[in-house]
Parts: sequence; C-alpha cells; structure tokens
Amino acid sequence: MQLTPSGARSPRPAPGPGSAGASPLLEVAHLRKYFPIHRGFSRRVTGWVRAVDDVSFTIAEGETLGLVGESGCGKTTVARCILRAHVPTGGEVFFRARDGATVDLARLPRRALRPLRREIQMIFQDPYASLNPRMSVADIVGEPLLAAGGVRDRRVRFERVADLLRLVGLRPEFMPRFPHAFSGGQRQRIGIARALALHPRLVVADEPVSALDVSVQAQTLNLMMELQQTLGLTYLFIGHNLSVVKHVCDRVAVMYVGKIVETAATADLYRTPRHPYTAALLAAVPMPDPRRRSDDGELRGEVPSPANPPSGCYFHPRCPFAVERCRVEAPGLRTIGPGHRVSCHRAEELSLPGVS
Amino acid sequence: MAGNPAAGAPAAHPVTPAARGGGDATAPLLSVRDLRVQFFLPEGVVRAVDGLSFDVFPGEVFGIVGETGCGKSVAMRALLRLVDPPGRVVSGRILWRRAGGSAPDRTAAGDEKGGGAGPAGPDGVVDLAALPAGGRVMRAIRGAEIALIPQEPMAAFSPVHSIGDQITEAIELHRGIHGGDARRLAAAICREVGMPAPEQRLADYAWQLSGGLRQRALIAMAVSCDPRLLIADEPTTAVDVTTQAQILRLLRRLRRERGAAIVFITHDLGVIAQMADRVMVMYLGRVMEQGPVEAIFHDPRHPYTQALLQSIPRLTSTPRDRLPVISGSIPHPLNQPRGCPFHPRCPHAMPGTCDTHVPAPRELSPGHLAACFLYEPAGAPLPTPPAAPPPCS
Repeated sequence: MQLTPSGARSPRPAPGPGSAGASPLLEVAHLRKYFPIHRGFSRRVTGWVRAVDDVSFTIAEGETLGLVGESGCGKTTVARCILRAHVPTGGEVFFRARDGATVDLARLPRRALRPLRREIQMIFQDPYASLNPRMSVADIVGEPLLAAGGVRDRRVRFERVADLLRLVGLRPEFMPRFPHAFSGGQRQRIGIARALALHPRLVVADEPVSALDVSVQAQTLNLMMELQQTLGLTYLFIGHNLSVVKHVCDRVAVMYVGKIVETAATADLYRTPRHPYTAALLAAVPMPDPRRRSDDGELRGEVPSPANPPSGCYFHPRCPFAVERCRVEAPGLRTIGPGHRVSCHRAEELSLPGVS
Repeated sequence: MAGNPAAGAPAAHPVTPAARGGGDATAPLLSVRDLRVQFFLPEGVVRAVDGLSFDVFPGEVFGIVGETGCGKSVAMRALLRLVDPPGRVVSGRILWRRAGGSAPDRTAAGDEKGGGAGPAGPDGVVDLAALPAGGRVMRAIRGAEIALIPQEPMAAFSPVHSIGDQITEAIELHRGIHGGDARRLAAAICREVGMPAPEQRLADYAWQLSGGLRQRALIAMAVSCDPRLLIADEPTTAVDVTTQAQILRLLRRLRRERGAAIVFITHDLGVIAQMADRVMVMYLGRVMEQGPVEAIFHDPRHPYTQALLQSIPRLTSTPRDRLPVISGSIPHPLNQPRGCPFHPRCPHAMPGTCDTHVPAPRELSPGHLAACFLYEPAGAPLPTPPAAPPPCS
C-alpha cells in the first residue's frame, strides 16, 4: 500500500497560502494518490489506479464543503489522504493548526502528526461497522481521550464521556451498554460523540447518513448542523445524495474519476451548473414529487475505471455536448464566475439546467 | 403477455388504480388479504408482517415504501413462499390469478396441502399461501409468473456460473426452450435491457460486471420468462445516481412494452414518486396508508407519511434549515409497541386510544386508505384490542 513512487512529491518549501487575511483552515493542493496494480507471480507493477489525480480545494474555518461524486470517483480517498490514513502520492495538504502554524499533512512524519490527529476527526458511514461490538459506549467514546487526550483517570474520563453523550442527545446512563443495544441513528450519535471527544476543528464526515433510515437522517443532519454552530466546527462532508449535500453544505465540489470537475457555492452550483456532469447528476436525482416526473436527461454509459480513463476530458464518452477537442485535450479547472470553477472546454457556451 | 381489452368500467373493488397498463381492469392480478408472517425466535415472536392487505392490478406499478423492519421484503418473500424457518406465514391469503383466469373470488387451493397438483388449473385463482412451498404449482409460478429482482445483485447470482448459464437455466426450466435457442433468447433479452455486446457478456461471471451491468443482468433474468408480475426489491440501492436513473427508466420501459405489473419496494421516497401508480406506506409490519401516488405525496393523511415527507431534505428546500424530525427511532422488532405501532413517535397520538387499540384502515377518498384514529368518526366504538401473540409452536 505504501508503494509510492519516490520523487513524486513536488518540492514546495513554504505554504503559499496563509498570507491572505482569511486563510483557509485546510488547503488541498494538487493532491494525487495512485494505487499500484500488480500482475502475475512476481507482483510486478503493471499500472496505476489514479484514484485521486490533481485535486485542489480549500475549506475556510467554520465552513462546510461538500464533496460529491459517484462510487469510485475518489472522494473517500481524498478524505483518507487528509487524515493521513493514506500517504499521498503527490501534492500538499496544508492545515492551519490550533497554534497558528500551517503544516503540510502530506509530508509530515508520523510522530509529528500525532498531536495534529486530535484536530482532525472522522465520522464514518456505517454505524454498524465503525463501532467495536465488544466495547461499551464508555470505552468507545473514551478511547480517544485515553489514547490521545491523556485522560488516564477513569472517573474524569467517564465524566467527559457523559458530557459528550449529552452533547449528541444520548443519555449518560447508556455508558455501560454495548453497540448492539442501539439503533442505527443512536449508533451514529455515538460515532459523532467519539469524533468530538478531542475537540477537533476539522471533522471529515464520510457519508454520515447514507446508512441511516429516512426518519433518522434528519435528526442526524440537524445534530451535525447544531454542533457546527455551538462548537465552531469545520466539515468536509462527503456524500452522494445531492439533496442532503445541498442541505448542509456552504460550497460543493463535484468529483469525477479522480478529478474535481466543478466547484462553487451551493446555491450557485445547484441553480446554474456549468459542467455537463453536474447537470446530469442533478437531473438524475429522483424528485419526491409525482408531478415532477422526468424521463429525459439520462446519462449514457457508466463511470470509467480510474485505472484506464478515457483520453481528453474523462467525461467526454458520456457527455451529450462533447466535441472533437474534448476527445483530445483534457480541460483544466478554471474560474468562470465568482467562486465558481469548472473544468469544461465548453462551459461558456453551454446553458445547462439546474434546480431552483 | 397481458391482453389489452378496453379498460373502462369502474372498479368494484375499493381500491381504484390510478393508471393501468392492460388486462382485465377490474380484476386484480394479485390480492393479498390479512397476511401475517411471524418469526419464531428463542427470544420471542417477531410479527414481521402483521395483517397486510393489498391488490395489484395488471400492468400497474405498485410501490411499497417503508424503513428498516417494516416488513416490506419479508412480505414479498412470503408472496413467493420463500420465507425460511424460523419464519412462517401464519395466516392470510395470497390470491394469484393465473394466466387467463378470472377475478379472485374463489379459493380452490385449500385442499392442496399434500400433493403437487394444481387444483385451480392453469386459468384459475390460486391461494399461494395454501400451496406447499416446494410443490409443483408453486415452482411453476415462482420465477415464471412472478419474478423477483432481489436487492443485492452480487448475492443473487452464483459466482461459479456464468451470467448466460443462469439466465438460460431459467428459460429452459420455465419456457421449454433449450440449447442454442435458449441461449439466443437470453442474448436477445440482455440486449433488450441495454447490455452492450450481450453475446460476450453472457460468458462473464457476475463479479466481472460493473454494478449497473449486474443489475441489468438480474433484470434480464427476471423478465426472461415473461412474468406477469415483477417484484423489484430495492433494485437501485446498490447503484449510483446516474445508473439508478438508467435502471428506473429501463423498468418503466419494460412495464410499457411487456405489460407486466411491478411491485416496487424501496425506502427512497424520490424513487417511489417517480415510479409508482399507487403507493403503500408500511411501518413495523403494518400498512399505514395506501393510495394513488398523487394523493400520498400531495395529500398524505397518516401522521407517519406526513412526517416522513417533511423530514427528507429536497433539492428544492432551503439549505441549512432545521429539518422537521420524527422523534425517537424505529423500535426493536421484539419490542413492538401495543396499539398503533407508530404511536410512540406520533405527534397526534391520543392516550387511551392509540396506545391500546390498533386502528383499522379506513377509506378517506376513493382508493385512499389510512389506518389512523384521527379519521375515526367521534364516538365510534374502538376495535377490539389486539390479541396476544400466538404461542410459539
């Protein structure tokens, strides 16, 4: 897994951003993560899966950035690179730590990373898989306090756990219970309490409500928005449900086969998408209204493999607006309006339907 | 398959379908009456399906929407008699009109317990609940007349047989077509469901296909025997949004071209609004509300349906608003509340009524039913309290 091609990291001495007035909490610059493909008995590397290929974005403090895309687009790999669960192949991940120093998480040695891990936490997708069934709630939520918070005293730790459970709307009496005694929504609250145990500043939420029932999704989303207000959290919200993402995010970045194809303020992106893929994603959302049935705007084909992407613009084989240029030349991400960036050759001339 | 005589006469049945594709308009293809499925576990009895009644008319899309544990999948497995021990269909009737049959007014299947002979013949109405699950009639109906598109395409296909072999097997078993002819028919059906280069794909194994193609292969297998009823159990939960749109469109086209009725099961209200003609909302094994899709989404009457529709974020809603929530969570199946199953979470719950008595479905407008005491006329006698769960046998 750690087979990163050496020398792939571009030398960049000091973080360029951070000088501006409102410096972002997180700046991801030209992030790349390639996974090797092994073949044969010798496990020779025959190719690379470009899971994340030159992804750049920023998140301001207190903001929620949504990262959307279909399965295999690399959104979870981006999250894992930020958390350094993966070592990026290239690029930088600048994080402004609590003490004001900006560090590149992509290249920090593990030891230096440890104190920063408290500041970046994760909420996982599946509350059934992310809680150890053999640990009590007190131990699950208390573990980060013990491991990284240095709270050795059991009583002090359990008091903190009780506070955290109250914060996420669970009763402290639940502490001795085990995960199986809880419903999906309650389990997700336990996962959120664990993520908040060390007072993080950035919370990476990877599809936090996808595995939950409809009637408890709203509770969880409300809780996340409330916690953001009271604790001043910054979220990277990864999702595929565009209705949910619209509801909680200030800005949205759309990924397709390892690249960001469009990013804009939420209202802007949904009202006037500039990339055909964004427009197609919006058109594919089934509206919960029988009066708004649509049978058109369907996208042909399927998402290509990041191991063998098409030439030019990765979206061109499926794009209804593709021209010859799209087949040969890969478009770069460029600014098309205030805070609105898109990678499409024809962005200016196209008028794409959004939702209002 | 289904003929298309003029559909005009008003339905004698209380439930009027909003739109129907073909067949005898007044006679339901499938009538489920008071179906109960229970699981006898060491910890107690789980009433997974608790008094379910509905009709499916020829050519319509009947949507069943509900959350985890509402019994929607168990009910569908019961229709196909695929409930395995410790689960059992404890009571109720599943009246299926076989090809060329008439309205399900006679149940001639009562005496079929031991043997495998079809009592009602090929053109009658049979009670699937009374048939032996492994008997000849049930095997002739399952897969051929009623086909299932299961939830998890990876689990539905055998990993050691090619897609082509599995689709061909279904054709050979049910349609009496063999060898190269069956193979060619399989390829033709795969092309019909939008698989590129089907002749080559047939040699592939399920795990070699992408999620979208696997789902298409599953649909091909389900429609290969020209069923009159297709049960689609969350057919798009495992696929991406753009693929989902493709699959939904495909199912709509198959309904139109083949005239098969579809029972569409999902937890996604958006999908149900896009697909269904009529909708049934389930919660903890019971029907909360049932009606034309228009009424369910624009005039929901049951508090559960109302709350469900309010709590989902929409593309058109205001961002960052606090979403209205349904308090609490779905009870554990072994710990079902007394009375109306939704009463502990219901904002309109009436103490002394909702927590002690089970409301019966009441027709509020033609074809629109809700099971809620809010719609009982004042002073009406309460229904008899629910019986204690039957003893474990």
